[in-house]
Amino acid sequence: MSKIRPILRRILITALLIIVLFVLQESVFSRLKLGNVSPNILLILVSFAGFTRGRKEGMVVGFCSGLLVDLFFGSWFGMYALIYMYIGFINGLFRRLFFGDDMKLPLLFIGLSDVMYGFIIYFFLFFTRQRTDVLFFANNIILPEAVYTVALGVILYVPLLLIYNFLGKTDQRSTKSFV
Amino acid sequence: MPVRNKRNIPSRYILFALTTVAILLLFFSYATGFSGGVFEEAAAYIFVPMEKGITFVSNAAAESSKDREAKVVLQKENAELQSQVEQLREDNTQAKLEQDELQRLRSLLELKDTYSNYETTGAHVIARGESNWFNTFTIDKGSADGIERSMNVIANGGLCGIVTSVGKHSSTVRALIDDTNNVSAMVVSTQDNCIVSGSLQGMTEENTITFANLQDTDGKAAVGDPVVTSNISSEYVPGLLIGYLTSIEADSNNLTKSGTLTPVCDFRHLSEVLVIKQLKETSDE
Repeated sequence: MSKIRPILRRILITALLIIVLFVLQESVFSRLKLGNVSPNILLILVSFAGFTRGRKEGMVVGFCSGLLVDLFFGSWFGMYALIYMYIGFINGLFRRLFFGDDMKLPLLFIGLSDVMYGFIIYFFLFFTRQRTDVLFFANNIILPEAVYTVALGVILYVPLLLIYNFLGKTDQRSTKSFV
Repeated sequence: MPVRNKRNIPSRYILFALTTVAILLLFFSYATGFSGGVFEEAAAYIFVPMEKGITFVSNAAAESSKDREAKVVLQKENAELQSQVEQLREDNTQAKLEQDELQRLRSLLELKDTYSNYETTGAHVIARGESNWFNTFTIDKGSADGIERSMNVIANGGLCGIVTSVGKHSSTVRALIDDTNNVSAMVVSTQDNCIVSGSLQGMTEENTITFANLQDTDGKAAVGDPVVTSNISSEYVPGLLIGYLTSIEADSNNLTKSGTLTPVCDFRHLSEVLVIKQLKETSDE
């Protein structure tokens, strides 16, 4: 029983984080447009979960976030789930490089994740419909969105790290008492 | 989150399983048009109240900060408007007379219903779409308020989008300017049909969307002409203003023309919209 509790807590808090960030994304950040783009704060969480907790959690968080986006805004159900999941997974591959006190590398990952997300969407949903001006879309949408997202990543990084440290500690304690 | 089985199942299996699930969902939704169904409704119960609340608060905040700035401007504007009101009153009397005459002539021609006033219902925009790539938004009315799929949405006196999915108390609208959106339209001055398509690139660069296949053989269509939804459109009711032509070019086949138009609806500051409760009737339904 005492082993399940921290797991439940982790699931609950992560689900809550996804929901809160999704709602903020839809109703607040979609209005705070800078240079005609809005940031993607849900992707910050997916990327963060990936490189702090590893592949499995990265892709599960990505899958769930993507599914939520699909429910409300996807034109094909499952598309965002697939994209977010792979972004979470790829971030998870770099878990070993991650140290909590250095902020530069995580921000780089968040930025790269957003650029990757942008190019995936562009290639599958725009390039295939003869919107061939790659440079235009890169300069006006993909890169500005990534910069904006990284800027918000700076703000969100510390709170997310605190929450994840809190969850991590409770996990460690429980595994120690059991092993 | 399968933390419990962390040491047992290799992550590539989970990846494979979830990928399969997502791809199956994709095929399933492509084949059946499924876009969430019951889950979407359930999720809407949780999210719509939250989004409504946040939108209300942020609207109130934006308005109160605007109020302070606007006071001086308003007083000045008020004086100007007063003089305009006088002028307009005069014009209005004239227009009323002409309206009466128009109605009389229309009834003579039995054209009463051609551009009749459609029944509409107001709705608030409570959330914008997820990405910078697509232009969709959520409104706070759904099937409980009589909203149905394919109903047209107008704002600022012009076409603004079309309802793509309906929940109990909320619906999703695809904007006119969304890159995947196409509307069968007509240039009013020449009565020629064309296809108006949303364009992300056009909207970002110069606030325009594109039109194509305009068969203007006499070359009478000119910059500034209004474009409305056509009567042959399968989803849009006829006669809704879309925008004004901003550039016209002859296609290389020398038969059709294409170019750009500026939509009348202001998509950057969309907060209230009207949903037209009349569906376009087509023969195959």
